[in-house]
Amino acid sequence: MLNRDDIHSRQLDREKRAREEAERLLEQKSRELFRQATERESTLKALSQSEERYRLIVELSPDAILIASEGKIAFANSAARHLFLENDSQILNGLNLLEITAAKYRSQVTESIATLIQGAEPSHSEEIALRLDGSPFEVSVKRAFVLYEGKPAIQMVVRDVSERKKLEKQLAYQATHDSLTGTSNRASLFSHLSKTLIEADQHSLPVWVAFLDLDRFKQINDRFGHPVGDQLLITVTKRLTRVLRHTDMLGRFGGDEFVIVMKGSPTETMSSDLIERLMSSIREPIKIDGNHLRVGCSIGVATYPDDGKTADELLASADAAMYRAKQSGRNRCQFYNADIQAHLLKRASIEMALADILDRDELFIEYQPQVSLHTGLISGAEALLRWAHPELGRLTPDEFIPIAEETSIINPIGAWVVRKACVQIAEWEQHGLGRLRVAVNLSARQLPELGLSSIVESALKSSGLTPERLELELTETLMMSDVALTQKTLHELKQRGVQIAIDDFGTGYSSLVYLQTLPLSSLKMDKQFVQALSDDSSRTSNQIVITLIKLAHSLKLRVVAEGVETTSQLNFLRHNGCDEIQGFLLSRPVQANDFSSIIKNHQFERWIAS
Amino acid sequence: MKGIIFREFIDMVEAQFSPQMVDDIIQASTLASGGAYTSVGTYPHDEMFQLVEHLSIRTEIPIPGLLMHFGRHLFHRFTVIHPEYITSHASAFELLKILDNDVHVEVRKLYQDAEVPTFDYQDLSDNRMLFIYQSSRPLADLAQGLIEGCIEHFGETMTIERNDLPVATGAHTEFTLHNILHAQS
Repeated sequence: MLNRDDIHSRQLDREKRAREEAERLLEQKSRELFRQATERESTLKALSQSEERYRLIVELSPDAILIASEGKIAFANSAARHLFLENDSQILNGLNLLEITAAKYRSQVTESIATLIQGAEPSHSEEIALRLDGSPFEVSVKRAFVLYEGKPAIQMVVRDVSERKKLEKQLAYQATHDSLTGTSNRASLFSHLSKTLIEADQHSLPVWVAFLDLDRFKQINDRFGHPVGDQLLITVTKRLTRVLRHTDMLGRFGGDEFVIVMKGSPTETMSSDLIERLMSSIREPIKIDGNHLRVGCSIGVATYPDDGKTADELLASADAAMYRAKQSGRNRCQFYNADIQAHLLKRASIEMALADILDRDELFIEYQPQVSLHTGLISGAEALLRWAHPELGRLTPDEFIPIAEETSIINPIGAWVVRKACVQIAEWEQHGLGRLRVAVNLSARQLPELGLSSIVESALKSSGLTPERLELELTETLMMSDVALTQKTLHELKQRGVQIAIDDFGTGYSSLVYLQTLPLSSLKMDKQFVQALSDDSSRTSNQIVITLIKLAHSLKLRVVAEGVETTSQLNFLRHNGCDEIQGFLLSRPVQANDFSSIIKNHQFERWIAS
Repeated sequence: MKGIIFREFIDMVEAQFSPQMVDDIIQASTLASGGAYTSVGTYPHDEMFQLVEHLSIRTEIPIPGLLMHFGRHLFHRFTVIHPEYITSHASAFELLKILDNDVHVEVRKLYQDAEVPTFDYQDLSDNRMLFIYQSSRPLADLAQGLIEGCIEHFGETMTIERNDLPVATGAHTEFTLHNILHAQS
């Protein structure tokens, strides 16, 4: 019995403990539920705050944000309502998404949305959207899949890119068009020509490249000003465009240079009629601001594939032909030919050899005596640069200096001449051949170089020559190319004691003002005047020479007459007070050794004394 | 092991043997819980092994037999406590197949900390199924009892071929079930 009671008592005890354990678990579970509920509440609060922040961001976003669910717009932020011109009668909400998409893009948009719903990554595209008033505009759209109110939806961020597109178009236009004339620019012309050549190559078609340069355009610019020059270029462009076929391409290559690319048919040859019409269209007077301007042009034509295989080659050939047309008297057309090619080859050969000209020991100087008409003695010499080219033979400065001027090699060449001439004159003095003066011609490119003064100083120092025995000869054209800079450089040189002569006086665009303002020491009368002298002293040519001499003297300048070939010319000049002469009558330019013999022989005194 | 299993075990011993037998085996065992089980609690499975072992000693019934018996009893109790899991299925195969995915998912919803065994299966033919039991505890006998209880519930006739695979701890057992009546039909 006791055993049964014990069992019962233990059973009751176990039941009590089980109940207590159950209560403990219940209590624990209650706490857990309370904690979870608190956490959920705080999560919901955070979520609500986050949603509020999101709503604010979306609402304040400068980009239009829209959500479309089941194809219809379910949400549009303020920027979207503004962008699509929402008003009281037309609202975005509820509209089919395609109603704000341009017809052309509707299938693309539908497809994009379908792929997004299938799980594709967010997309980005540029499309044309429609405002609620139906007006189209260019947009950049980013689309992503979202759930909106529990349903699959597409969120879109739309940005108006009309302005950007407009700017891009403008930039693209500016990159390919000449801003003044609106025609193609150099880059676009080059690209067009390259493409045309590929096409021509595939179909065996001829292509002609015409290089057109206006004649004397610079004078019009100088005389009437740049606005008139610009207007003239615009008119020329219009006239050329009218003459050309729509398959031809006109481009402004730079300045007053135009290039025309013409595609031909297999049997076609370049029509001289077309060239004539191009030229005569330009020749017609152009009326600008009440001025009737006349301008001509020179045209060079190169043919593909004969005159060049690439755009570069063809343009170079056409340019060379145009240059030849200019040389031949302007206002004409020149087709590229073998002569021009030979000339180009010669030029290329000169260009190559110029690169290391000073290492080649091929340059040398000839000296032409200048004789005083007062004493009959040699007063100085003009140093004349020569080049003994191994293949092309003897070259005069006219043939290679303009090429050297296009590169920086002109500066070391110039320095070499100054130094060499100074050393030579000093050497003659040391050998007892007198204190002669040497005249050195300066290149147009050298004058503005800041190093000219130091080059001169260095040459004087190394030779020991005093500055007044060096005379730098400059042409009028050169002097006037940049008056302010020219004056500054010449005054610097003059201050060092160097003499400055104006060369070929009377042939360029002389302005007497420059004679007054430039620090000149002498004036070299051009040989044209000397050679026009006549026995009839009343002739205009004689009077001009007399006047020039008087003019120079009144400005306290020494006068040197160039190109004296006859004794009558010599006598006329001496009689009229010319100071010095130079010319074949006395001596051709000769090498240094021969020149020293001339000095030793005093061979001119008999003429001068007579 | 969930307290409900202990409660069912204690109830079974009390009903089928006696309250004294319950008291005896609890007294004989060293139980942290003191044998006071509540259905929502969780207790070391070792306590179940101790209780079964002492019951075996006292009844002289081998432990595997006791566990299989408890398994059959337990299945019967499930049909009473959770008929919703049972009644929606038409056959033992059907019910056994959804054990892993459905029943154990529901178990975890109720008892997050429950350590449930895994049940896998392969259909060998229309009337043969390979049922694979894996557990961290060596309770293949209990599992067999549950399977038998299930077959019994649906009134089916099957042969059960059991293959205990070697494992370091726990159990990995394959039961090949063959529905004989189905084959004859």
